[in-house]
Amino acid sequence: MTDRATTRAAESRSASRADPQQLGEIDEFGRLSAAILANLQKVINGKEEIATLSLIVLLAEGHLLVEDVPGVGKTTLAKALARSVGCSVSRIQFTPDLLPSDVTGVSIYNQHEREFEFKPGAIFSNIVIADEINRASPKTQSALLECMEERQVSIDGQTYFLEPPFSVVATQNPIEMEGTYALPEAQRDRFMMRVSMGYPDARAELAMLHNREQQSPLDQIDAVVTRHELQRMIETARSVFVSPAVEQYAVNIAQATRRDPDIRLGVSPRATLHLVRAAKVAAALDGREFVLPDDIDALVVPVLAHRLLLTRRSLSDNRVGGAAAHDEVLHRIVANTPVPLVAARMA
Amino acid sequence: MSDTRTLLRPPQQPVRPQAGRGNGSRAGQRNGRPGSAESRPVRIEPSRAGQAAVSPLLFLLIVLPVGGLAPLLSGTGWWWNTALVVALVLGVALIVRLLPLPVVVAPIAALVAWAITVTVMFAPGSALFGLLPTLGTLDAIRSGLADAGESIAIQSVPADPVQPIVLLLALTVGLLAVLADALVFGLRMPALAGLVPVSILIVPYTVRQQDFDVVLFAVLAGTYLLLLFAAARFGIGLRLRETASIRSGWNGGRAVLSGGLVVLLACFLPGVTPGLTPGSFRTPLSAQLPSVYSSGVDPSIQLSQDLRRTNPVLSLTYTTTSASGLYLKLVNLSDFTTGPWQPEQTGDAAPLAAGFAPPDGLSADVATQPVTSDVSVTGLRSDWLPVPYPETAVTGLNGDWTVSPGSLTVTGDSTNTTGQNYTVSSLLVQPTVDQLASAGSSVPDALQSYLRLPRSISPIIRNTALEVTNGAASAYDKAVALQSYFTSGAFEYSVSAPVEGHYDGGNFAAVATFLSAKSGYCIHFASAMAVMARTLGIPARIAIGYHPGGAGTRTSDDLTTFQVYSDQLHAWPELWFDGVGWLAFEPTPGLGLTPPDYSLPNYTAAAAAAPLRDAAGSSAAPTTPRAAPQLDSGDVAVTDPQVQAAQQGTAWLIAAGIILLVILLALLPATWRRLRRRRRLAGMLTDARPASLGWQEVRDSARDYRFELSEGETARGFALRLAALYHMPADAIEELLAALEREQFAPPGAVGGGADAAPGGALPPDEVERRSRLVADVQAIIHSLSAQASTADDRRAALLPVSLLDRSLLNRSLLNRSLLDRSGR
Repeated sequence: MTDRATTRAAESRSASRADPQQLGEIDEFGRLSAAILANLQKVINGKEEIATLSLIVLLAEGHLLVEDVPGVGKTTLAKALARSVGCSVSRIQFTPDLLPSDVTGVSIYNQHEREFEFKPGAIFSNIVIADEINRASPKTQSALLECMEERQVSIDGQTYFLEPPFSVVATQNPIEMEGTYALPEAQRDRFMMRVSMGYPDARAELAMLHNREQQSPLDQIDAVVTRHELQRMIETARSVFVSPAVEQYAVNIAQATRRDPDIRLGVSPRATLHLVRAAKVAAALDGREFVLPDDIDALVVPVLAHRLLLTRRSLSDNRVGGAAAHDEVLHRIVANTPVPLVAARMA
Repeated sequence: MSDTRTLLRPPQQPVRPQAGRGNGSRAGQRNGRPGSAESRPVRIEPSRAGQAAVSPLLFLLIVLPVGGLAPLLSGTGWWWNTALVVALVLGVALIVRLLPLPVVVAPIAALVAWAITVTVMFAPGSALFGLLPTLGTLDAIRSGLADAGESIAIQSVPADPVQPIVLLLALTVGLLAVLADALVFGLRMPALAGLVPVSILIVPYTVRQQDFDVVLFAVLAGTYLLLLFAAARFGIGLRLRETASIRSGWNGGRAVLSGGLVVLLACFLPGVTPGLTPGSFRTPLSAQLPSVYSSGVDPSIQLSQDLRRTNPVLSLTYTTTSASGLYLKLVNLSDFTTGPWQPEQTGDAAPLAAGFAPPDGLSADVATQPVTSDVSVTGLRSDWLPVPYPETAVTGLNGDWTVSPGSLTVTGDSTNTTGQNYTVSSLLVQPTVDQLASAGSSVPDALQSYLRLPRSISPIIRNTALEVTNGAASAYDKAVALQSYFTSGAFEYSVSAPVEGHYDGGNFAAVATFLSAKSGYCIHFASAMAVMARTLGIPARIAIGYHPGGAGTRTSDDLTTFQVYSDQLHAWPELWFDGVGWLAFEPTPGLGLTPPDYSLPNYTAAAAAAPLRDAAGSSAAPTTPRAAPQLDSGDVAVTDPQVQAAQQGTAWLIAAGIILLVILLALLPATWRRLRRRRRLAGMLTDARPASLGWQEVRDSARDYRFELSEGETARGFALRLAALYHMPADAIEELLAALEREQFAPPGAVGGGADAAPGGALPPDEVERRSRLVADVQAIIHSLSAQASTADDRRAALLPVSLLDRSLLNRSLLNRSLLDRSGR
């Protein structure tokens, strides 16, 4: 749309009686998020959408699953995101022999003090990068995933709370690769979103070669947001208004996945919750203090796709197959779900 | 997991369809999912709104054709009665269906409603608690139905809607309503509702055998299509899982369009192809057995139809000893005092075997000549035998026949004329001038009934009679004067004029109109002369039968054979003179008929004295003694240029009227759409949700241009597509969209001002300005839509605004949600 149109739209927004304090918060939110996104751009060339989605997950206090073949920048993205927000970051490289205690921590008998002393594991950070999560044994995976859901760790009858903000950015290779343990669907459900990096286009790949000639671009990244500011942003996103009609819309979509003949297992209620939370952040990122059905629509695939189980028939019938089949089914559901629009009093 | 079994099922294995859907468990639903989704019949419960919308259409479809009975029954009370019964039956069924009750309850409730309504309306005395039908009610209804049958048999068209007839109507049409309701809603077969109007309309068209009413037909067809359309939209028809094309929403429009086309064709085709009228379809059948003069049908109406018949059929042939053709009388109309004139009742008829009484009033000194005729009926079905008056003997008939003493009418007793061959002996009455002139004016008591007139008759009849016969001395002179009044040229023969002037048929109103219009056919001339004669004190009656028509062929033995065609059906007056008896007159001009000699003003004694024409053994020239009538009535009706011009003029007027009506109807959607747009734009300045109202208008306008918003599309998505069109005002779209989204989804307190404005209270000036800017935006968008459309699209959008189709009929989102529930694909 033209600049003039944008101006007029902004005029009409300010003309309406929105809460000025909230508008201020939204503007602050926009400024900070723009800074984070610009930071991310230094590291991953192109891929704005992926960057935005990962930011949404962070601000919605969810966990992100980045899935793709090795070497496309999954870990780089996770690291860049963590460094940009000035929070404590830890990284766990998952291997088949990784033990649960490596993740959660362990109690060691201190002979000097004559008591058990808790050594926190890698999980005790604001942002945890779980690299190649599907290479660890299921036992270790579930230890991590329990922490993700509970946001606390219990060892030897002692409960240790994880400090907010807490977000896990897990990367995984596609399950067909060698030496991997696929995440069960119940555990995939804990992740708010799954995104795929995809290969960079030729220009971006060339630019990457030049960037990394001397040093890693990750080194240039400084935190642009303090932990306190990040906390404020999360608060702002939480306060975004969701009208009952939009809530109903999200529920309708979730319900539709449970009725669809092509889907063997529909999405969980947690998925609906994640969808609406993510939509709130997306609305705030767009400078709005209320959620539109469009926000929901845009997030349906990243938030819901990894939770669906398609029927065998639809997988084999589908021309594209694989993850694209999930996307196609979801696109169809979105297209068939009526968008709420309250009629004017006189129609 | 509980899904294991489902997962292990081979994908192609057919699964029994799950009957109950609703909010069943997910597992249940998955089990109900078949291997091939396309072939599974899904029973879809129609929405309540759908039933409520279709029911009134069904009501119209039933009561409108009942209105088609109007030509058969006088008044309108019977229609209201029937409509009330139908409304009650359908209303009860609708209400019961809206309640959560088993499906079978509704037809039973409708039946009960029907029974109670009929009982309360027609047999309240026999009802239990004034409501419930009892055995006594059954008896009352049964006797009422018997009365109805009798009444229908006796009465002519239009019949007086006596109570039994109204009962019959209410009973049968009410039952039809019960059936139709069960068909449409119970068995979910709305298409069969079309049988109802057909079965009702069969009645008037078979009884009256006239062309159908184009307007009624068009309205009915439109109602029927609307019903089908609504039934399809509301899922009332039982159908298989809907396909994509059904859901796309365009089938409705297409169905209405093609249906409308069919209706238009059906209305106009018969007009431009004259061979394709019901009349012509009837001919081949009726050529075998034209049902002339069965009891229960107004003879004058029958008569007019036979005269209008385009290709007359041979009714009978006869070989006679008379050199000239004979008037063959079927029946008399003599009671003029009640509504439509009735054939004479045969109450005092005696069996044919008892012989014929001597003709009324014929004294022995009047010369008569016996005539014998052999009649062979080929194509006439009538309860009355065509015989020349006054007959003395009839032999050779099959079945039982009776003779009425006065009129000498021969009536079949549960037999008719079909295929009869018989010999009839009759007399040719040849009174002298003196006998006629001296015929007394005294009327015996037995004939007083032939003078009876209703209490009030139009003064024009009496005045004309007095005026015409001014100066005539004897009754006979008066009769001659009357006849010459009609035949002198002032009157013209026309079969069509009375129909157009609405004075067709035999009654006093028709006579009065005829006397001023001076145009009509035999029944009018005959009845006018008969009535005028009665006002002058001359006993008179109307005879209906066949006129002599064309010349016969001379066969051996001085016999002449005549062929009588259906269009020779005729009516003529018979007047009674003391001492001479009943004499036929011929006041009808234009048929080429010569009035009987004795009725001509220059009839002389000499002419009467010389029986030259009919001398049995004379070698008189075989040429036709009377002016040969070359023209039959049908020819006259067609070739009369004035009549033809008048007919054409009227046809053009009707055609122009129909075209005007069609144009007005065609403009109706456009007008409706424009009014709606205006109302919405005006509403944007006052409504609590101005942008939503404006958005609705934009969306509908886009729909009119076939730019559709799909159900799953967001406002923003639609706006982007709209803005991508050529030359669309992107900023106007953006502004409207922003306002719309804010109105719809922003927290209530922050909505753009309007919602808080107290009703009636003035809006703040900036709000008024914002709203008028939104109105301007909407107008700009609509204008651009129109500008970028082709001329044809533009015209179509204006004349056939499809946005009217669903918004007016239903709450679309409601419907689509239910569609979505039913199918995933």
